[in-house]
Amino acid sequence: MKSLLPSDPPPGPFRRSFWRSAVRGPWLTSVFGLLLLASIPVMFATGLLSYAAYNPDLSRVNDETPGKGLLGFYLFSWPTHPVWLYRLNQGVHVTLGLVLVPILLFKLWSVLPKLFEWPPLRSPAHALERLSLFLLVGGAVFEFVTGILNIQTWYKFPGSFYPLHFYGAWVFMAGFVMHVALKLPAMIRALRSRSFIGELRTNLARTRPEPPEAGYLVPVAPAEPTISRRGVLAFAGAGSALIALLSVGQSVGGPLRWTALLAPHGGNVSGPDGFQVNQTAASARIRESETGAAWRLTLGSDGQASRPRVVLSRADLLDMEQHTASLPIACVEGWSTDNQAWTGVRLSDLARLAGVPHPSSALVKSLQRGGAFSQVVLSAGQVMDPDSLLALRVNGADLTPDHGYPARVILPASPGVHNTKWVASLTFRS
Amino acid sequence: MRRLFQRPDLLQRFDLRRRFDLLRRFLRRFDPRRFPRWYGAGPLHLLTMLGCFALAGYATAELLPNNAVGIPIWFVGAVIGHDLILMPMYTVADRSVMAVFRHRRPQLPAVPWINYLRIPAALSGMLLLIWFPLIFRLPRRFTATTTLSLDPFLWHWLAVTGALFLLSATALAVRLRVGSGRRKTRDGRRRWRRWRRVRLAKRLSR
Repeated sequence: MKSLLPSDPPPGPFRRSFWRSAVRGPWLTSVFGLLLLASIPVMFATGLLSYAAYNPDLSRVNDETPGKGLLGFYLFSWPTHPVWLYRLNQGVHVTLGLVLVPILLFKLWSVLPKLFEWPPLRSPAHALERLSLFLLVGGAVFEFVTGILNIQTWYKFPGSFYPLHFYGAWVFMAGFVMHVALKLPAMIRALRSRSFIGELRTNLARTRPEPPEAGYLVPVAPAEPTISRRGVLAFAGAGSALIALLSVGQSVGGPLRWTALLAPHGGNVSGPDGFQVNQTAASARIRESETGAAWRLTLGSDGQASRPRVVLSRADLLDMEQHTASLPIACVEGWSTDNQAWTGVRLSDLARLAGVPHPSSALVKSLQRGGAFSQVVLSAGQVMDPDSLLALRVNGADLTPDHGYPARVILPASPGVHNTKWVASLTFRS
Repeated sequence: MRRLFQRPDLLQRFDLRRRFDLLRRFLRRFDPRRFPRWYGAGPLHLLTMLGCFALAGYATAELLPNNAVGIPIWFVGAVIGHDLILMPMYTVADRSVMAVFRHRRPQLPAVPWINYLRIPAALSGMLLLIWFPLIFRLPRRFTATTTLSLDPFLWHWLAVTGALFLLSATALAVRLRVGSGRRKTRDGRRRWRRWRRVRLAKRLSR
């Protein structure tokens, strides 16, 4: 390789004198690196937890990535308490992801001269490192872009969101682990080389480039700085703070909801049904004739063919013992509602009525035809939880069609799409 | 056979000892003392790399069948899109503004005015980068599925952008009025030039 290329870099970005920013250097890069080192594992963990929350091991119906193989090694039955568990997990995953965008951009800006190292490949080790950086940068941008487009429901990525974001995360993490293993000592050395407090006290007039180093970051011919290192940190911090301020309200709710001016589900909707939806009755092609007086709920029991099916009208359900549970709706897209007072029949009561008092799982089917989430399999824990309801009313009023009239499932601590709307049948498996 | 003895070079070619020697020399590469010289790093480096590439390969084998053309394009596009398009674009924009205004230097305030322009512009740009599908009303089924309107997002973004520039202008005005910024900057510029002279002299004397 060495012999094929001229030893002197060609003009342009391959020459070190091309890069002139006086604030680029290992210390600044390491501060951004440290922030990402602390945050990316949180992103990964909340992402994996969100996948576990779908209970993909329970049934093919729940699994959006059936080919996961070894990558599903950690799966466990998702708990139903605390009820805000999924809301918190997804709020952190999405909001933190948005907040990290400026940090990631600044980190990439700070190391860009390295892309134009000369010679481009020094040894087999160096070649592997550069390939790992392709996984790292490509994976990071791929994950951020697919996530950010998905929460805006602009499905322009090449395939279904779930496998793309899930397997993409593993590719990204492979690159991330390699990068951390290689760079951690350099990061610690760089952070120790300057005092953080000292940098915060250094204004523009006293800002000087970091001492020359073997790496590519410190410029050999620095231009007069136009911003201090503390200025760069404040710049990135302001970006993160602004993005958080304009989006966190869609997950936190309450009085903060109106501050979510740039988030898909900011703003308030009024009335007892005044909370957000991500699938209306019209978009799910639910016909009024199906949900009117002719609607019936069918309760089945799997594996007991001799047992007759139970068929209930909405009036029958209202005659049963009613319970109220205060639960949020939390979407995988990160937005969530405050707790709403749902009233209806306990799923465990319906299981008993179907003749399966201790079901191992339950298949819920919606009137909706097609669509990945028109049916779902619930775990025993989810069915038996006293807060798990087949809700008929919310906040003292009948459900509206968009919220699932005549009846919907509402579960504590579960992903929004598992709260099946327009329920047609429940089949309990003993 | 006799001919073989007349041709010692042919004999050499079949010489097992020579072959063994070659093999030994190849294997010596993996001697921990010599390994770094041809590989460029220690054996632990290679093990880490291989382990992580194996994991990446395993995930890729599941990822790729989803769209064997689109996904590689997206990965490569992600790198090119950031490193060779987005980043040069904002660098050139920043430098152009600096260059355009530098010609009018006497009228310009001596404080680092560029930050009062680049920071609100960059923050507004980041918001656009994240939320452009909502701002430009690209998700066609958004209103049908969520009952929410896409109309406010453009106005929200414009309002936030306006507020950022207004805030920045106010901050600059305050700084110019106080006047200390001007003195500090002029002082800083002088000191920077001195630092550069000293640095150059040091390098020449070396």
